[in-house]
Amino acid sequence: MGRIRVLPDQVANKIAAGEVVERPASVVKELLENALDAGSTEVRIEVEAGGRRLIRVADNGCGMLRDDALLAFERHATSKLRDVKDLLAIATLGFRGEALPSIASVSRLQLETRSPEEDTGTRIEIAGGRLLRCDEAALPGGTSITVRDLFFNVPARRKFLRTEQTELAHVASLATHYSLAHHDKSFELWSDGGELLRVTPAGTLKERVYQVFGSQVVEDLVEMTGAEKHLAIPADRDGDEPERRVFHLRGFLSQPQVQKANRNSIYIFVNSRLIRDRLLMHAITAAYHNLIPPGSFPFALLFLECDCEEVDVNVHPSKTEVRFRHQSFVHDFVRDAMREQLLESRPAPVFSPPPSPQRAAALPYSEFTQMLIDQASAPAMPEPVLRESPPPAPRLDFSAPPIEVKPLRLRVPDTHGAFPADAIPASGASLESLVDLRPLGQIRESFIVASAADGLWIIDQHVAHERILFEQILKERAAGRIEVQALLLPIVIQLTPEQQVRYARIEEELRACGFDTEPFGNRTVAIKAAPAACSAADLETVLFEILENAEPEARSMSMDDIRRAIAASLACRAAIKINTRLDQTKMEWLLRELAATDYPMSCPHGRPIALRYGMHEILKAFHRI
Amino acid sequence: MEFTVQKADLVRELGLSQGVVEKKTTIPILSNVLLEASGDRLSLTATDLELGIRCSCPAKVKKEGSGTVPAKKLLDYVRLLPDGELTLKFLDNHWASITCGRSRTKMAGMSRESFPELPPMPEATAELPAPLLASMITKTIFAISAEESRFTLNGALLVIREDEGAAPVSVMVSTDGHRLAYIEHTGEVPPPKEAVRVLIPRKCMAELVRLAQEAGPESRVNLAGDDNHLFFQIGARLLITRRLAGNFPDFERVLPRDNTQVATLDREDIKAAVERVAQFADERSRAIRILFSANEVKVFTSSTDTGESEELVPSTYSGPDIDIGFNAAYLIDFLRAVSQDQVSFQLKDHKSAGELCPVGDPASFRYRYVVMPMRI
Ligand SMILES: Nc1ncnc2c1ncn2[C@@H]1O[C@H](COP(=O)(O)OP(=O)(O)OP(=O)(O)O)[C@@H](O)[C@H]1O
Ligand SMILES: [Mg+2]
Ligand SMILES: [Zn+2]
Repeated sequence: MGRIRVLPDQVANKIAAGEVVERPASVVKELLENALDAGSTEVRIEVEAGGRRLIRVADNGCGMLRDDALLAFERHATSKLRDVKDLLAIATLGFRGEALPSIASVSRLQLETRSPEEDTGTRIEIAGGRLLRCDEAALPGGTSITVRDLFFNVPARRKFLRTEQTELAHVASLATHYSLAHHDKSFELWSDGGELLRVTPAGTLKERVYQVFGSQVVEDLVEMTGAEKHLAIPADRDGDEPERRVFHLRGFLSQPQVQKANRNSIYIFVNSRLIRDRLLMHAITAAYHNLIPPGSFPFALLFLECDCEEVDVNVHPSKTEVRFRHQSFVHDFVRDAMREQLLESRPAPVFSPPPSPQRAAALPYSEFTQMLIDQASAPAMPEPVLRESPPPAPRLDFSAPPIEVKPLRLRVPDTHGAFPADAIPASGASLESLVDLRPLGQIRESFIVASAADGLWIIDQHVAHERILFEQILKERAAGRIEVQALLLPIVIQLTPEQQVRYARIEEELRACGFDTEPFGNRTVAIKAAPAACSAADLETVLFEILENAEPEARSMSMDDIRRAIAASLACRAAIKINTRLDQTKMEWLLRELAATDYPMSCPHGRPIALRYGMHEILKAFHRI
Repeated sequence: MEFTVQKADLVRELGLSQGVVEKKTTIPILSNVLLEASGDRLSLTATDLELGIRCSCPAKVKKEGSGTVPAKKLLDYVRLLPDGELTLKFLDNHWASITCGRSRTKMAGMSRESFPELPPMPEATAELPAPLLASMITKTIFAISAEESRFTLNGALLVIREDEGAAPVSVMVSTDGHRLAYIEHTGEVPPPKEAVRVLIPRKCMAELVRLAQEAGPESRVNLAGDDNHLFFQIGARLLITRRLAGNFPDFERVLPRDNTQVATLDREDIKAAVERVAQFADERSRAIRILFSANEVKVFTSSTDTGESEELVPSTYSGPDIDIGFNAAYLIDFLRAVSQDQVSFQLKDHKSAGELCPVGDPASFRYRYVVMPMRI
């Protein structure tokens, strides 16, 4: 009795339907997901001509029974769902029974598969959806699917394919991400006979991240080993125990000094499925609020696990979107867990290492992609001219000849060499050591130089004080203890219509933050009292700045965001300016207060506060090690 | 140019120019002092383009002329010379050669061509005793806002007016938006040629105090102004400042009229109490509270991370209890500026401006200090 079944119409109709195969990468994604669903531990991907000529995905999974092999190419034929109820708790990556028939209809496909339960395997050939052959064959266990000449029968589609390099970059990024989601499996990606990615099973996610991205990137990351939160769901019927749902989050976050121009370095996996989700994206941005500048993004590799009932994956045919049953719970959990992790690890940025291609703020994915593109477009022969500087050493070493081939295919060392146990300092450079900093003096009356057992530190006095004041103001605000100074004469300021609208929106919050303002008619506002931290001379500027900041994402900005923006403006104004001489006691005071803050690593606008020149680097620079 | 001066004269006059000389070396010539010898005097001029000073002292001029040298370097060097005469001569390359006894020095100078020309002083319009002006300044300068904005001025207002049939009144007011210091003086001043209402920049005020002190108790200040500048002539010395642009706030509106609750306190007692309690105030806001109740004033802080503190000061107060918050630094500024033994707090309620005055000033000299309360 086979495992695959054709779904009854009433189930099939409930599945988000649409175009599945868009480009080579979508084929790779479907085949890869099938391999993972089949319980494989080794997956090998091969592409030729960026996947346009050939895509082959071979796995060592459960394979298909003879009867199933043909059935798999029927629409809505799947082994992963039975009835409508199953749709509510999807635990596999696939569930539609759409992928294979869709791919088979736009390519020349060959399937070779054998289930361990049977002695012989099956070979099937289909072209443009027409079955050409179906034979019994002697095959190893597992499945290998070869897709040739994608879109050979759909010229319109073929026209829309991008260059081979671009398509290859998409395939590579996909393979990379799935390899991160399954660190215990081995993955290989070959392109036109060259190896692009080869990772052996890793003991931990950290090790896999290291294999894939290299040590430089790992140094800039903070590991989140696992945050958990429970959600109690009231019982359906009285008398039943309330159900408990567990949410688990782990992954890697960038330190605040890593700032990306776009969201491309944020990878979110929900139950091992790579997704794009606005809700989680927002939670991530919120976690970094006031830690990195607005409009910039962190690097994040996040794995959210939860009960299948809590997340609906049947939202979009591409299976890249999900819908959470308890959206705000998930949002807040992710945001808070990330914040706590950043709070706990207090990572300290270090002085940039000597110019190297793996810059601290490098963008792992796009750099990877860029390299693939560069690689693909580079002339085959080395240029005869001397270059000014050597070409950047690629993160994944394409040019290196295959290193000694050991008996087992999977034993080949990965491209970064073995994972050295001490490659990543146990706790990383941490701002914890701020407490025993000894200020030595100032540079240009703007930066405090301080020494500690772990090296030399430079602290930007303005942003350090800004951070201190920012947290202080927020605490006072939370406790309703803002100190307010009345003004001798009200300051009357004129607003533009736009500012007027924003003013009306945040008037209440302004009051709670210590601004006694009163509309004066005709778009003027009288300020009668203001937070004591703010001098009368600064008031107008601060208020306009607050109104300015309340604008850009007016709709997406919560009152909490506005509160923080107000505190940031006040803190910035009241903080010690650069070009200000500080005596020893003042510097000591500043460092002490900074050490006591929750997030001593960056100012509320996201600029770094402290840099460390670690003992290790110092010793290295002096050739002592 | 060549002249001989007494070292003491040169040191004194150079010392007065130091506050004016540009400290940052953005425009090198502004770090220099212009020396001009003519007749039987040497005149010294320094400016930072905001403020300018011209002083002079007697000299034996052998050859008239002028040149510039770094002001601070010159002072530092001359100060170390033995008392007596010294001779200074400008060489063709703008260097200055200084000889004094057995010391011989050459200092790099710069041509006077690039030294800014100071405007000539127009006819004086008013006259004030120098000690009076100095006292008005020291009692108001601390309330000037540190920064300039549309609503705060980096200077004080000086008004000299003569109401019909009454003695001339001179007033100086300063404010930073949170507090206001006000001095009103009647008489002693010759009637001004025309009413004076000018804004004096803070830096100029500080220099005026120095000049007034240097000039002695009998000296007088002549005041003049053109469109862009104010001129203060004290004896042979002239201080010139750019005028501050802006409107001084309507301070008359701010002076309390019905603060009927009055507490009289020993100035030293209340000053010491505020200073001590302020140690436990918030680092930034310096907020303290004062509870005025029958015969007693309690100065205290609400409890914070750093601790809490309270002090009792006897007082003549008999009004209703008033619990009012203030910035301690504002109170201390005033309590340090007055010399009288007693001060009075005049209040209306905890939301309105409080007024502080020294007790026992003659009616011709009124010092009022208005402080807005804090809500803590
Ligand atoms: N690599 C594989 N190893 C074992 N079985 C496979 C493999 N690939 C596909 N199958 C079987 O073929 C069926 C059809 O695959 P297909 O990808 O078309 O649908 P699906 O994975 O069930 O759903 P979806 O359309 O969402 O991917 C699967 O349900 C599975 O039983
Ligand atoms: Mg599938
Ligand atoms: Zn900032």
